[in-house]
Amino acid sequence: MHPVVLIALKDLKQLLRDRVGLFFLVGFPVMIGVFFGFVFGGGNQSGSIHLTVALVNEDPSEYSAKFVEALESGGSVGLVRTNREPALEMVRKGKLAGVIVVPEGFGETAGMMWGGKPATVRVGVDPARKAEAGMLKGLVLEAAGQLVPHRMNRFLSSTNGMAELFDEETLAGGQVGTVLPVEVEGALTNLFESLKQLRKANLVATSRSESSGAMPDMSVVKVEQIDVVRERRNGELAKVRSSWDITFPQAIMWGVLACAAGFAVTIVREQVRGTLLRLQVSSIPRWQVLAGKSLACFISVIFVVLFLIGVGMAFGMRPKEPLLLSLAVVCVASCFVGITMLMAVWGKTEEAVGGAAWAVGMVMSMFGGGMIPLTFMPAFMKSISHISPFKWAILSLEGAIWREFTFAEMLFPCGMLLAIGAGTFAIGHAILKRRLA
Amino acid sequence: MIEVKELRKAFGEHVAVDGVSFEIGQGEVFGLLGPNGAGKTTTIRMLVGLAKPDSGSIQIDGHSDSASARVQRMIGLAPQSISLYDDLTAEENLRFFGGMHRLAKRRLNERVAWSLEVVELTDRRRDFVKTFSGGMKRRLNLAAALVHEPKMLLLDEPTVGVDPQSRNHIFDSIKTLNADGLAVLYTTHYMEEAERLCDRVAIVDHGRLLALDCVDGLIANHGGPAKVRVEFNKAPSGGEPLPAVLDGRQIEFESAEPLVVINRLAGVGGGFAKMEISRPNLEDVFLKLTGHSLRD
Ligand SMILES: Nc1ncnc2c1ncn2[C@@H]1O[C@H](COP(=O)(O)OP(=O)(O)OP(=O)(O)O)[C@@H](O)[C@H]1O
Ligand SMILES: [Mg+2]
Repeated sequence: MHPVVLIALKDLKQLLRDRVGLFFLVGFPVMIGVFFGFVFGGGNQSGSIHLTVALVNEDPSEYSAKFVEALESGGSVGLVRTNREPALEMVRKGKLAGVIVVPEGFGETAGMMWGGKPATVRVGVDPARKAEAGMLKGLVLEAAGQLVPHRMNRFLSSTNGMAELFDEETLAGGQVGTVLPVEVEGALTNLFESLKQLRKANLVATSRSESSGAMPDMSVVKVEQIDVVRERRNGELAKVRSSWDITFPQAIMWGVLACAAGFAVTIVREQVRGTLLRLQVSSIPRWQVLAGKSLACFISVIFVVLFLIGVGMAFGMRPKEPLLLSLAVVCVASCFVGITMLMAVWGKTEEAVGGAAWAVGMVMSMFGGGMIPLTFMPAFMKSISHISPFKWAILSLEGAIWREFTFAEMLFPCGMLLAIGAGTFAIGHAILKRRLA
Repeated sequence: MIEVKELRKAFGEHVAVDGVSFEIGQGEVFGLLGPNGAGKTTTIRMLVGLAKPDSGSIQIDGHSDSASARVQRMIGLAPQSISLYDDLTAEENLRFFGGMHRLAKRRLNERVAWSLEVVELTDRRRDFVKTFSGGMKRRLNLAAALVHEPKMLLLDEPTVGVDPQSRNHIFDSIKTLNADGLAVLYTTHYMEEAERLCDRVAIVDHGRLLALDCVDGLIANHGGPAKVRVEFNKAPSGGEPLPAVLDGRQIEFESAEPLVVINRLAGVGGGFAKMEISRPNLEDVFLKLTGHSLRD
């Protein structure tokens, strides 16, 4: 086997045997990704599992109570009962995904398919969570649909002993008109319509996972949009479908940082423990030693990134452009191979290099959006972030995951990564070479 | 095989190696004997191209570029500080370093097994180096120098902390290899090792080579007279003049020809109760050459 490959394999073997190192490579980043994912509300949006919204019930009727019950019994939505103002505030601040307002007078027409305008439910959704808006509307329609049979039952039980009349044949025959009171006649004429609508509503509910948020054409309930504008989360975040999309690129970068710091330490370790000396006096050229190390570093970055992408996807991250993502991953790995080389010469002992690598990595990460997503950073911070490789790394990953970058748009962040990688590699290599001479 | 001329290396003001010249022939074990800081390691580092000499020349098997792959393939180096991967097993370490010299797989397997045999670590080959004792690590450090079948060995204090039994085994192995034509440069500050193993010994101190000869030659030329101590049964009275002043029944003196003197003493009467002749050793040679002892 070629010495470069032997060195890379040896390094990877050592890496796998180092439990603590492995934790920082994969365990710690997963923790970061999951932790921040939950902090940013990702836990509530993973797929179609659960959504927590504010519920403002301004209608005292039994219909509104039934509606709320129906909404809750579906299990897809958690309700925080509150008043209109605090509810809107919470949604604005991103604490809740949305708000459902049941306005006064809801009970008067809820569940009725006839006579005047349908009952109204007002729904407001955090604009950053558009994906959930459709789902929430579906849930509201589903719950409102369940009021239809309730309304029917109430009506029937109030018109004594007439239940038997409502078998299908009679209805189909449409013969009852003459013997029924006027209201009943009206109700029955609308019953078919109601049932049809109910089925439609259920259909909407069952297919809500792929709901586009489009309003179904129906009148069981009118869903009005409340405009909950949150200043900072504007346009660009509209593309985010889950907060995992934001936190996992960050998590990935923590894993990459751990790789870089880990390999930087192995380079000094070889110096300190004298094994580099043995490599120097073995008959392979020196560049092959560094090539082997770099190869191992590159491979482990790739593996860590792929692993974290996998974990992210298990949580609900959905990369939009797998091909561009591969491009980003390769560029990130190349960049950090260079950074590793530079980190390796920041000190002469394992402790010094390990410490410095993490410290500098943290700062780069902080300014580059590894801790707080760039989107949430004030403008001046964003401009500082240009000097951090983390920024370009995260941007290229996000570009492929949710920013919907085109190939051309990917070229800039990827180019920056490659340039930083090449530059840092050259500097690190030059210093190392001089130190060993 | 190795030819060093007027080698000099200074670190700032401090001259670590100061005009050292020697030659090591095929099948020779050459000792570099000197105290701490004498410049032994620095000399070796220059030989393998890890340090650049300030002046002087090095020729290894006719090549002057000691950092070239061809030269390095010929050299087996056991560095003074243990240079192994702690988190690899003994076998993995040897395999890896052998692989660095591009040994073919079959040959590599044979060599790894053989090297482990030489340092008697075959039964520990699957253990991580971090679980080894200091002496075992030292032995593996030596094995890593042997694994790629070098033509010359540069051993920098290879037996520090190694127990006498393992040391004997290592010495026997070196002698065997040596008989097959391997050249060995052996640095040490144990004169017993130098005396026992080396064909020729160079004595170095403060970067300078003070004397270079075979052990007997060094002792004959620089060791001075032998020490003799005799205890009589009863103090001799008069007769022959004694070589030193009598201290009770004992007498101590130095002589270049101790047997002749003792023969004479036998004639003075009194009979010998005890007699000790100590031949000078390399320690004495060193003391004579430098004015201080090797262990200072
Ligand atoms: N890299 C260096 N920088 C500065 N001085 C050095 C360096 N390497 C060696 N020296 C100095 O050179 C001198 C010779 O050192 P060297 O290591 O060659 O001694 P040695 O004979 O191998 O000693 P020991 O028996 O302790 O191993 C010492 O005084 C040492 O301080
Ligand atoms: Mg030394």
